[in-house]
Amino acid sequence: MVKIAKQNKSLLECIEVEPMSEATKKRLAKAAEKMKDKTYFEEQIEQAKETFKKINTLPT
Amino acid sequence: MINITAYPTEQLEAKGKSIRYIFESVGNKSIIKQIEYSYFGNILGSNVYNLGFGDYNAAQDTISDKANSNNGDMRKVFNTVLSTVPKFFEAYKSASIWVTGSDEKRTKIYCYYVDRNFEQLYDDYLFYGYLKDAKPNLVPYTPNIAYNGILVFKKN
Repeated sequence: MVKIAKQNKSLLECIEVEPMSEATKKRLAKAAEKMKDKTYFEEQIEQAKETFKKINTLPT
Repeated sequence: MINITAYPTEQLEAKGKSIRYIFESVGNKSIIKQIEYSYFGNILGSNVYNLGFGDYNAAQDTISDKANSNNGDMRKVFNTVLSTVPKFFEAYKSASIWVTGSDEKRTKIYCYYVDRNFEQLYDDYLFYGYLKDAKPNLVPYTPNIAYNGILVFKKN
């Protein structure tokens, strides 16, 4: 059983996100600066494309 | 009751057809992690985004989706990934998410979560399971089957 914070919210919307500390804000800002223009998941995307080529029957 | 807390995320600037979030895992050590939804194709009239997730290595400027962080906060990290799903569907209502782990064990974690919470999740989401050696290989999701991937749609 999981804790439901409010009705009319989906299960995933009920996950309680903690507040962000100032230290975390700084570390994320520093990382974001380095990461903003790069992509890191090309290999996974190619794998996903390959998998989807093999889908032989669509669900009904 | 199970505590379902998550780390706060920060959305990065859009890069091509992707939505990216980063957050800090604060367990035994500090680890920056990235969640990325990357567009890669179309199925059933829906744009499909791959859910990518991994640890950021600042020194090498790389992300590993195979690292075992052992940071003592696996549940919270997993919840953080899940917490971005509603945000994704808020931005892309008719899109779908392709979910598969970087290895069998990680894929099982996603399936296990869906299995455990299927009834509640099914109120809002539609799931298809992918079985690489079956025919058909993409079928409406049935709990407790070891799928190789999951395709998730948001119900309207």
